[in-house]
Amino acid sequence: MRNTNRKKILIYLAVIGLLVFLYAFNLLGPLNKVIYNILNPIFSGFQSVSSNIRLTYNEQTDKIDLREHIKELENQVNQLTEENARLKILENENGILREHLGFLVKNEYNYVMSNVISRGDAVETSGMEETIIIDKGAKDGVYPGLAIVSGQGIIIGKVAEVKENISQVNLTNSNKCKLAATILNEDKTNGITEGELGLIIKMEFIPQEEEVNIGDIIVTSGLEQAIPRGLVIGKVTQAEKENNEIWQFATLEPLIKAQDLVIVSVLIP
Amino acid sequence: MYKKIILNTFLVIGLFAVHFSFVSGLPSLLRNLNLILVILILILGLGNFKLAFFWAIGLGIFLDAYSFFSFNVFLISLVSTIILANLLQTNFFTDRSLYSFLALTFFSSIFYEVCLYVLSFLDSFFSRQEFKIFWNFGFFKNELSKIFINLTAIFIFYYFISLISKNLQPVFLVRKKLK
Repeated sequence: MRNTNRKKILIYLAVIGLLVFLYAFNLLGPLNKVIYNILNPIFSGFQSVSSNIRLTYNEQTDKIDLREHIKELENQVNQLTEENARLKILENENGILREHLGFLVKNEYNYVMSNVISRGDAVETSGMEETIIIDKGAKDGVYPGLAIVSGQGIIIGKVAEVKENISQVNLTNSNKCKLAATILNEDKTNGITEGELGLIIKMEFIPQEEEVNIGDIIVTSGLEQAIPRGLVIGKVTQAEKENNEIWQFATLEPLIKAQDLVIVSVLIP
Repeated sequence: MYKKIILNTFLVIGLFAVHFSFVSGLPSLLRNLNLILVILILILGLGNFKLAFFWAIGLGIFLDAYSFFSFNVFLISLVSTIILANLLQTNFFTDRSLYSFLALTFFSSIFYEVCLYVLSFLDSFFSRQEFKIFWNFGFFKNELSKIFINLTAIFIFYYFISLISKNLQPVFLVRKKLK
């Protein structure tokens, strides 16, 4: 009896050992490929159902603030309409100037659209959603460091790791997502944004003498090879300056909830 | 035999799909539910160790296929947790009462989380990546909420199963007077 048990335990251990060995040397690749091909389409369906549930839940909890929010948005729409008209004139002017100078129009990005198939990581210590998994990988030309944007062109994260058919994305609220950024103020101040505790985005390394105002828009600076300039990261909600520090820092609020997105785009330079 | 294997494979895939894609997208507290662990505990309690072990291996393979660790962190964590749960069940929580299921889920959830953190720390250590744990209130609150939601789930599943089957219903021996 004892011998049979020992034999069984040995067989179990051998199975696990074999699986660990096969995984470590990437010999499970063909099996994984089959799994991805079968499961990825199912996952996007599941994900959109649970996202709808989450959106409905969030809408219910946000209803209290809805009236104030509508008023605020109406003001914002008016401001944006005026700004939009001004920018259209500038865009026309810019187009003519570019034509004259023979510059390449750079705002046409190459992109790969992908579905979000899962959210969060098993070892997310903050309890907040700091990562997502998308159904595009190395096979589609995705590699670590690429920007992930929403439909409105707002950057929501950066590709962290890639497998053949899937990629892991660190969202901008993750401390693993560092972005070279610029504040759209008069001096076009540069700094680095980084998530903190999965809750907020912080911009660091801003020189003390620079003026940072609440409401300033932060965009990517283009200093990173794989991330184009001008993608909106968020707007400043708080600026902190202490005399004994070399740098000052700002707290940002993202313009959209990356957690609610079901479809995202990977920008490929 | 083959029918059983195919059926179990489909069930494993279904459970993985629901856990990985559906549960992860649910709002706040619900997304902390570890559906895989809860189901494995139920299989262990109502079925047998062998079945739970092979489900753990299957689910571990799927979870690892969609993870970005350099070795089978999920497979090792799940299998170790099931082995521990089996040891606890055979030595301490031998009956099929609600309390036994709750205790098994409680200890398994803690062990699984510790296992995951230790193995992912090892993974980041060997791949020279940063691994940060903020030992603050938020971290402990999040860990406690994971245990709480798992316990709630096992509680609901237990009563649901006892409603639809006779497996978990209490048995009373009544002495009848002989006429």
